Amino acid sequence: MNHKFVKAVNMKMENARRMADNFQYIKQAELPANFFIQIENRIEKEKDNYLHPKWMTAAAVFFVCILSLNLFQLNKSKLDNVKPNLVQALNLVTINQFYP
Amino acid sequence: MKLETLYNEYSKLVYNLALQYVQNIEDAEEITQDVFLAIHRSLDDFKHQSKLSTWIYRITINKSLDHLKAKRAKKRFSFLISLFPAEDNEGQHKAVTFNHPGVQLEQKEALENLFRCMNQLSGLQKTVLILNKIEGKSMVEIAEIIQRSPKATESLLQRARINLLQQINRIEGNES
Repeated sequence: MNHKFVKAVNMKMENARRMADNFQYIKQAELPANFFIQIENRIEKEKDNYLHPKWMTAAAVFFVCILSLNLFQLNKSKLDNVKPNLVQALNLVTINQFYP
Repeated sequence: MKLETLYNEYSKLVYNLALQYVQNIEDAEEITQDVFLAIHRSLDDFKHQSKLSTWIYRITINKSLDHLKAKRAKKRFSFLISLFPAEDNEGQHKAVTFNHPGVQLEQKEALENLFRCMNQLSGLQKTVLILNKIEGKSMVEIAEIIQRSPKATESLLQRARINLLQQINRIEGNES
């Protein structure tokens, strides 16, 4: 029984190995004759749209800077409005506490 | 160096390597275009730290794996689209067909099955198998291309071989 099982496994592996040997039958394929012209056309087409990664990074950094500056300004102006009201409210609370 | 000179020297290499990954003429041609576009863009940045052919091999492998990844994502997305059927079916994913011009008719069925098994492997294992079994590269050359040590490459190839044999056995078992 055990011997039969080992034999079957070995046969299966041998078949698989034989199948894997089929890689040797792959031949080299040829590209179409006018293929370089297609590549040149694509290069021409993408020349205008292509942005080098360093410019993309610079644009992203610039955008983040502008955004954070805006947020900072927004928070600052909000605080400017809030501050006097808060002080006033606190004053009222204090006055009410001591002079009910 | 002019792009045309590079094309004359390496286009066959790029096209055939891409074919082993996608097993489809249209996709391999698209990858070849992408590779030469990438070479055109970064030829000035090439620092000659490795051989030019090794650099081109690396670009082709990366572009092929990216292409496969994008195709898989598209397939997943098209499944979502198919849940909401639209009137025009233009966006739907076409079935992948085995169309390898380097395969002769007599071996077509066997090689189609073999490639089906190989496509189940991870990108790196597939790369090592292709470079060793089909492109006939030595262990040192493969190690240089995939930027690993020869020893690590050797064990990677061993694992790839075992996994491939297991996949073949699984498919053969299902078919019989």
